[in-house]
Amino acid sequence: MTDQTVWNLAFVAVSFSLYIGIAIWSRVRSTEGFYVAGHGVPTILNGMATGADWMSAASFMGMAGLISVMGYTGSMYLIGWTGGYVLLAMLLAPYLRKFGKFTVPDFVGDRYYSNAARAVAIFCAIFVSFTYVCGQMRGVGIVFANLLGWNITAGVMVGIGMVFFYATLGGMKGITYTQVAQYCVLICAFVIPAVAISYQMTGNPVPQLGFGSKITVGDNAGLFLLEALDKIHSDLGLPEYTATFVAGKKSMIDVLAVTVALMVGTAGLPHVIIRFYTVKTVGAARWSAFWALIFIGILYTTAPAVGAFARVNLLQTTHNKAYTAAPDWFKKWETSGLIAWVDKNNDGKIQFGQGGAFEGKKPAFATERGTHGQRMVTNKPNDTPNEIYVDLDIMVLANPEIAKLPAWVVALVAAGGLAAALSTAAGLLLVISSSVSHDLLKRMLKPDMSEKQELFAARVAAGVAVVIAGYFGVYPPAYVAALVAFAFGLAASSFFPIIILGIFSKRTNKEGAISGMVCGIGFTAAYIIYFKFMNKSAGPDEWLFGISPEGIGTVGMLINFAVTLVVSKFTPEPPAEVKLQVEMIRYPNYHPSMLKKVAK
Amino acid sequence: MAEEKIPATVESDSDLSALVQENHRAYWKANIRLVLILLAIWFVVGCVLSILLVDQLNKFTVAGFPVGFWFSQQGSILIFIVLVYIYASRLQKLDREFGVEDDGAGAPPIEH
Repeated sequence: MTDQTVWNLAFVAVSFSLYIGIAIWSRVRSTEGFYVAGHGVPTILNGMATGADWMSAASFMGMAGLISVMGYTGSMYLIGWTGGYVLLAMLLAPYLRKFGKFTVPDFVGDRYYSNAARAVAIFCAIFVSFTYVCGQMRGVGIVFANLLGWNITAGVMVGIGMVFFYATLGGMKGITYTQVAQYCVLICAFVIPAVAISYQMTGNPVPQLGFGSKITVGDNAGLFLLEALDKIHSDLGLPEYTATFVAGKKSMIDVLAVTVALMVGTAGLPHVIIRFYTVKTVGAARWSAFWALIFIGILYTTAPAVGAFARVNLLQTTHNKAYTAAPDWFKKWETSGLIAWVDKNNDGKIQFGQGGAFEGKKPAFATERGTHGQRMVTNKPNDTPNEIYVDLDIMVLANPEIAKLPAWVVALVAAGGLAAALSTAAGLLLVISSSVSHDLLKRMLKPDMSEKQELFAARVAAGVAVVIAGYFGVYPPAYVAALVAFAFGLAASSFFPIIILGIFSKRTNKEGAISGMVCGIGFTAAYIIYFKFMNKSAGPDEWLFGISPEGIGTVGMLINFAVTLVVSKFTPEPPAEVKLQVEMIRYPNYHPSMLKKVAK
Repeated sequence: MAEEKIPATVESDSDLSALVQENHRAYWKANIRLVLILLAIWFVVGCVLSILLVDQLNKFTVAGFPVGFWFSQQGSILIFIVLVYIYASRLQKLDREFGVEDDGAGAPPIEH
């Protein structure tokens, strides 16, 4: 075994034993412990757990790479995925905590005094969470495959085993405390290489500041980092890195729509919302939203800097350089299939340029090697100057190697990627499990079941969900990527408007809420299905107002708001009891026991 | 109205005196006012400065960053954190001022 393999195995083994130890320490015996960790999680720890819950394999591995190719347009992920926490903190978290039950369908069903509303909420919660969790299990497999050289199936199996163990044993309590540990692992794994690269390239160790500093190495030394990036891009015939809405990038309206859809979708995601049920008081819910945003902000302000460093590094070290002289990491990732090079002009040099290198999304490799020793690709080359394919995930994974950091840092990044994927998967599985055992069974189908039976059902549901998610992790359906647009679109157009109105408007009734949800989801789903599955070739000209399927949740949300308000206006007011319940939610020290007496 | 607290238990409607109800209304109004101001800033930073006016702001460069680009990839996130901080600390003060703090002792009973 090489030193690297030893380090990798050591880091994975140590971090996994830590998670297992925490799970055994925090096992639970009550439904309250299983669903909401007994409402007893300290504020700062809940902030960390929320951060790990929220930051998935995609945030950890994919986002910096995505921003590095999208440039300015990548901002929509940064603003969308952090701006949502402002809405969550001010409009949702404290009130849902005050409401004090277990799940999002609990709130929807009780506030709108209707099992039909509850059923719609259950369906959305399960659908949104499932869409998301399949990608996480795949993410675990990919980290194992890329960094440890295992096959993806074996990696997914290990992931299933881990999550199964601590989610069924410890429920929300087990998940929360493992997420705290996972946050620490993932943030170190993200920040340490970023600091090293920032220092190497700009002399400033703070990535957020290095982002705006002058480069000290390579052909463009002396230029500001962003200035250099713009120059390199225009030399290659690509739109400038900081260019906004030019040809080849998204339009202003689309960037705005996607940003808003991501913000509102974030605030409406059930696995994020339920984290705020776990703290002791309303004030603690507000403060843990603040801590969550700090902990998320550390990664989200570092990621765009990492993206820019990686982009300059990649282009400076490889563009117009002979393949035989390419750095080691280039060949290593080529071997694992995440980089491919097609020597279109037969000059033996690697050239970047506009467009894709070949037809199809992923390279298909032939067995024989080319004249320079490169792996040959069987895809038909495109008629573009670009000769290179780079998988976006490697920007983060390859960073430590590009910066020539020691082997233990590479291993730490592997452990960080696993932590990010596992923590998000566990949070999502808990939503699926509680939707089935609590919302569907206990609240709708079998209200007389005992706490023990409910807890057993919750564990079985979590177990079954892990296995199904693992199956889709091993055999990912081709439409998984397209489904992610669904997760945010549905969260934005279903939960967000009716939860907000449920808190801030006493007049909103069940007729309004149900028709609002049905119209919002119906419109959003129809639009996404049409453009993602039926008419894939359609572009911005055919889109409604030029809004892409990723951003259509914004329109769906507005439709939901409008329909809910109008229908509520023309149908009977909610019962006095429900109005009192809303009143109760608004004042932190009001308790239901007091209200029942008032209601008489 | 700061000294006016809700009685520990409420036996009937009349126990929730007009004074307490008015206190609650004032608390809710102050809360809504604060949230509207903070969300207005949220919208200006996240949508106006970062997206709608980004081209105008990008004409200026400060410390190596085109200004609009900085807002969209750094500034907006930092300002969001500050907004949530102001919200949490201001509401903590409001809760105390209006005597509606949640001390955690009376956490709602769980129904089974």
